[in-house]
Amino acid sequence: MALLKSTKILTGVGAQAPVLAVLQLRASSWWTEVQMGPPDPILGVTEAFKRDTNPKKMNLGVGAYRDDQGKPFVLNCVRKAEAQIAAKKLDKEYLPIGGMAEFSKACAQLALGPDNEVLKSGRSITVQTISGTGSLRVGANFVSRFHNVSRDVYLPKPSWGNHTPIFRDAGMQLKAYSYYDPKTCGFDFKGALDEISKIPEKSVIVLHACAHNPTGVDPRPEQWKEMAALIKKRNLLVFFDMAYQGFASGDIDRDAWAVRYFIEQGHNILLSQSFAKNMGLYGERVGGFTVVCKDAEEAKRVESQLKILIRPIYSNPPMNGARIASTILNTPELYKEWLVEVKGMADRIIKMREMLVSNLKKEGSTHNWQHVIDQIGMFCFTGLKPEQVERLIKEFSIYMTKDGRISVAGVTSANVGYLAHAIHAVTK
Amino acid sequence: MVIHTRNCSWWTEVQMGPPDPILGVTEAFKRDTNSKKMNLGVGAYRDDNGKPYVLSCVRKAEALIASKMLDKEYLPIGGLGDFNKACAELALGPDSEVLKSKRSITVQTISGTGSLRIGANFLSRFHTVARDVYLPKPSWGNHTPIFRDAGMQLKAYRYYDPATCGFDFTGALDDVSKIPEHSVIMLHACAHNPTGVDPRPEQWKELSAVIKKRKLLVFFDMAYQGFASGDIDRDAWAVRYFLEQGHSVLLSQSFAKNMGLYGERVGGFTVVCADAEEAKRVESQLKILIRPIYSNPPMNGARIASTILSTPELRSTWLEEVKGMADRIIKMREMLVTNLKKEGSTHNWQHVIDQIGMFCFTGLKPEQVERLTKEFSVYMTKDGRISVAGVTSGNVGYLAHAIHQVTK
Repeated sequence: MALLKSTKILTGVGAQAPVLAVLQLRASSWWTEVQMGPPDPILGVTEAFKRDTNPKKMNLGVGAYRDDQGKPFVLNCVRKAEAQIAAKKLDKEYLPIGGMAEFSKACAQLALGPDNEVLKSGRSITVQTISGTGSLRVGANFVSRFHNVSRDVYLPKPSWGNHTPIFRDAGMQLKAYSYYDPKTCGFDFKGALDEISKIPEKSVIVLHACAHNPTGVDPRPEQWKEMAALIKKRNLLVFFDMAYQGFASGDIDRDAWAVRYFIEQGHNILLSQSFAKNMGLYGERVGGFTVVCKDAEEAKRVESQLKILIRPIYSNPPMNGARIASTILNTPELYKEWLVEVKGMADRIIKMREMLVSNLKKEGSTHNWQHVIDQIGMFCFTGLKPEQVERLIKEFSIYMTKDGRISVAGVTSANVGYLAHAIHAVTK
Repeated sequence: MVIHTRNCSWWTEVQMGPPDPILGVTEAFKRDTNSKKMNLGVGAYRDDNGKPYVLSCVRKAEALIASKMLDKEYLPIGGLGDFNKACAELALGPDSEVLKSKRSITVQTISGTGSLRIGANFLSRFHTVARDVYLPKPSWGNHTPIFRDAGMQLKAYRYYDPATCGFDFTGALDDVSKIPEHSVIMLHACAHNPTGVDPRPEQWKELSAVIKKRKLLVFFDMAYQGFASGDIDRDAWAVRYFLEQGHSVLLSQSFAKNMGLYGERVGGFTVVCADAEEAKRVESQLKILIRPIYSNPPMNGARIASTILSTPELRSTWLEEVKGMADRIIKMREMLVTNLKKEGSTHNWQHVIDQIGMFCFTGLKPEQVERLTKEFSVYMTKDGRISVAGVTSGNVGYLAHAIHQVTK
């Protein structure tokens, strides 16, 4: 009865009826039950940083490289590659589903080394992906669809935050193995071996190839060797995440050593690569996903299924970044220049680590800060406790994530002294 | 020992996937040595010389962008803010009440496919009242795996009438009137792919009313705005009409064809909500969904599209160029029919002119298509679909001749 009444009222109102009718319709909603999602933890840090008016403020949450003036850095080799590409007046036709062939080839060669037996025998397939995340997700989806013998993916503890939803949304179950030792701010080698030795056969194990994110703690070569042997004994499927090749030590071959060693030892791995950091191509979204197979015939089958998987996600990958990366990797002078520039970035990071420690000592800190120098890559797990991190933010306007992780990329020769002073003040 | 380990394989059970049907056409075309060969499978625009076409407004935008020496920092998860705003305005119109009340959210996506997949994933996660997505029969081939891989169930409603090579309006209304409440219904906003058959405005109005009565969740796929009629507002008419009628739609947009940005992967996904507060909740969940797929979208194409849409002279140039592309397609349709008549064909080819957009469902049967391929080196998909973009004033006569030969 009430509904009928309201209809009468609507028709009685004449000219206003259509507006009221629209109002009535607009109230209908499909998404009433959709909850507001939790705020992004790292974004929260950046937003608080932006609001801060302290001229000495420092943003150590940033996951992107900064030069010694604290500015984003576009590599020279990238600018040159862009100029070369622009001059060619290329078209914008769709790439193949698996991406740009010259890029995929060079991407694989960079990781595996140009003389790698895997590449010579054609027993791997590399597809261009939407940077590292896109690569990991394609891999997660592939494993979910075709690795039916197990649903479990083992991540190091801790791992990059996004690994968890990537594998979970792809339908896998997340587990963990011991990795970081908060007592030493170093690698829990014994704990890792112990837990890996108990992982059920055929589970997937994720390994950070170099510059572990978020801890900066990498296994030493002898430790990698023992892990490779144990992982082979447990018959696990290895999934390497290599987001920092070249960016960690400054040497692309050294940073790829673990990946190449595992392959030599007979592991048929999955591998995700990103060019976001080592080529500074962040927003261009350049990456690769590789499956090392038994032989070329298997690689062809796997390739066909990767394409079937990719097509209903995004059809084919973005061209611009891949053209830049491919130009750099395939043009000798640009490739040389890139190696120099990536070493330059890695060296600056290493220098900031050293300066931070020497400044802490100068401040009079008696703590052992060796881990700041031993850790590698963009991030450093300082060992600071949440209360100390809170004080750094509130009293010194130094912003980092609550786990005490700092992005060394956000440190410059001009602010490292202030940082050391602040850290000493909250830890003495 | 190394040989022993190399024999172990994780992927022994992985089957070779079926070959891509359209790729097969292109590959056979490449192998053909006939100088008169025509590739009418191509899903990309070609100019009157049969060449890929980069719009001059795109080149200008690229030059502008290059001169700014911008950095390459990550975009936000939802993409370039300026792009999203312009993208939504293009579809909904700048005076849209939806935009004024901020009750929609638009995120930048990896072209149309990426947009559809985000939408499919969003539905799968949050539209828990129904699992069914109704596609027109036929629809773009990739729609099916997009929704299926996202966890939805595919169903269909009648759309194309092979007897008329036109719209099966009665059949569509009949099927749509029986769709269970709250199901998702996919509508091609303009230039239906693959048939080229679009409802007329009066037909859209009736569809809108039935869909509202059935309480269906509308998902518009608009991959050809501007490219269909040459007029961006006309091509968006159905989307805007549905919004006026109170449907809170999902909308996928692509700039692959209308800006020729194919490989740059530029698109948008929009959710129209009840109010601004709901739009905020939906936005937060879209970001949570997107982050573990690709973190944030590619910058280059979005910068180009955004520059064009918000720079008056470039936007004007773009509107002319997109009209130019649409006009050439329309002209080729007309020339094809004229030439078929000149050849002496007595069949009714009116549908070639009535259909709109890049594709044309010729009505040719598989045996006729086979003959066209084998005897004339004219390549198309087995369903008789041709890409009118592959037709030029230089080859339309040959095409008409060939079609007449296999249909007389």
